[in-house]
Amino acid sequence: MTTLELENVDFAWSAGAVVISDLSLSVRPGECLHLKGPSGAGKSTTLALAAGLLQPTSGAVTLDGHPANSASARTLRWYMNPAPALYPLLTVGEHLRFYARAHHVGERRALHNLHNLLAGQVDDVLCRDLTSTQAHMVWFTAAISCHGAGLLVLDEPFAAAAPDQTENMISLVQAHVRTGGSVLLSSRVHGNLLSNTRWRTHTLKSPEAP
Amino acid sequence: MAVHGALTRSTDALLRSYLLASVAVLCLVRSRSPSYRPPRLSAWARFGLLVSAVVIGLVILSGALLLVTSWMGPPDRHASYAAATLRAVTLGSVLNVLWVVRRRRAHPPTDSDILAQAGWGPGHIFVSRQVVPAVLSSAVALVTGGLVILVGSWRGTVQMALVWNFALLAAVVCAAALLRLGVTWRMDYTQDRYPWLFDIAIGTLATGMGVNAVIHVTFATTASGDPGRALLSWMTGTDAAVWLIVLGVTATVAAAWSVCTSRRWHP
Repeated sequence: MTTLELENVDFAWSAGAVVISDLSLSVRPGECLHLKGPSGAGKSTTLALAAGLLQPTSGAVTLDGHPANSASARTLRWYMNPAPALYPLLTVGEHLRFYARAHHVGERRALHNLHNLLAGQVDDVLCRDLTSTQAHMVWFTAAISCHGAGLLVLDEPFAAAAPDQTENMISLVQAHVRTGGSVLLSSRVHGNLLSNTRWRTHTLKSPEAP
Repeated sequence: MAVHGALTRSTDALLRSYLLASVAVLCLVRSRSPSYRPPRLSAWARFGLLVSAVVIGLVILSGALLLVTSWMGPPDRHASYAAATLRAVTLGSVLNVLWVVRRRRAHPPTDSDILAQAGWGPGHIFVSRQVVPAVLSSAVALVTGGLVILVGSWRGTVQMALVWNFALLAAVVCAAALLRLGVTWRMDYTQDRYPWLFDIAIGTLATGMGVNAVIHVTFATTASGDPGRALLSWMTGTDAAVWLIVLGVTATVAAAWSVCTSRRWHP
C-alpha cells in the first residue's frame, strides 16, 4: 500500500521554461487520481516526476517517504509510459512471463487479463507483429498484472483503446484500487466513461507566460 | 513455445535465441537473489572507464604490433591481400555503426526501457541487444585484422605503415563500440538528445573515405596496371590514415556526447 506525495513542486526544463509551478497533491492507498488539463499543462511531466524519471526544480516527490528516484521507491511503483517497450522478437506470452517472473508474481493473472482485453489469442504472436492497439493492451496488461507494486503511474493508458476495451481497462484499474492499490493517471480520451468512475480529479493549468 | 508467424531472417532467429537465453538468465538471477542490483556508475565515470579501457587496449595493441614488426620483412604481393582485408574490415566497421544507428531508430524502445520495467535500473547492461553485438563485432574486426598482420609477419611481408593503419582500425572499431554503448546508455525518454548531426558526419566521412579509395585505386591501377598494389598504396598512404583518424575522433566525440548528456531514468 503506497502513498504518493508531491509537495510544492516546481519543474522547469530550463530557466524561463516553467512547466509546473507550486504543485501539491497526494494519492493514498485505495485511491485513483485522474490528472486533467490542456495539452502542455504538465500532466506527463507530473507523471514522470512521480515515476522518478525527472527531478523537481524545487519541492519534494516521495513514495511512502522515500524520494521518488530512490531504489526503494522503484519497488513501490510501476510506470506505464505511452510508448510500449517490448522486445520485437519475443512473443506476448514470453514478455508477460518475463515481467511477471522478474517481479516474482504469477503470470496466469496477466494472461487472463490480456484475454479479457483482446478478443483473439495473441500469446504466441511476436511483439513486432502486433497492431499498435494490441501492443498497447499488452503494455497495459503488464502494468496492471505483472508486479507487486502498490502505486500505478499510467500515462494515457486508454489512448489506443476502443470504448469497450476502455471499460474493461477501467474495471482492472478499479480492481487494483479496491485491493488497496493507488493509481495516478492522465487521460484525454473517453471522458464520458471516466466521468462514470468515482475517481478524484486534479486539473492542471498551463503556467502563465512570464 | 510455438511462435505465430515465421522468423523470416536468420538474424531474427539468432537474436530471438539470444533474447530468450538472456531473459531466462535474468529471471534466474532475480529469483535467486531478488535484492541484487548490478553496480551503477555515473555517466562521467562510465565514460572515463571506457576511454581508459580503450586507451590501455590501444597501447598494449600498439606495443604488441611494434614487437611483431621487428620480424617484418620487405613487402611483397601478400601485403596487398592484407591491405584489402584491412580496408574491407574498416569499411565494414563503419557501415556497422551506421546500421546500428538505423536499427536504433527503427526500434524505439531501448533495452533500458524494457529492463527498467522489469525492475532493473538503466545503466545495467546485463541484457542488451546493442552491447553484445558491438563487443562481438569489434572483437571479430580486431581479431581479423590482427590475424592478417600476424600471417603477414609470419611470411615476413608486412609493412610498417600497414601496422599503423591497423592500429587506426583498432581505434575506429573501439570508437564504434563506444558509440554503441553510448546509444545503449542514452536513457532520455522525453527528449531525443542524441546528436544526429554526428550520424550525418560519420556517414559523410565513411562515404568520403570509400570514394577517396575508389578514386585513388582507379587512377593508380590505370597507371601501374596492378590493382593490388594500388590498393596497398592507398591503404598505407596518408589519405587512409587521415580518414581513419577523423572517423575515429568523430565517433568518439559522438559517443562522449551521447553518454555525457544522457539523463538516466534513475540517477
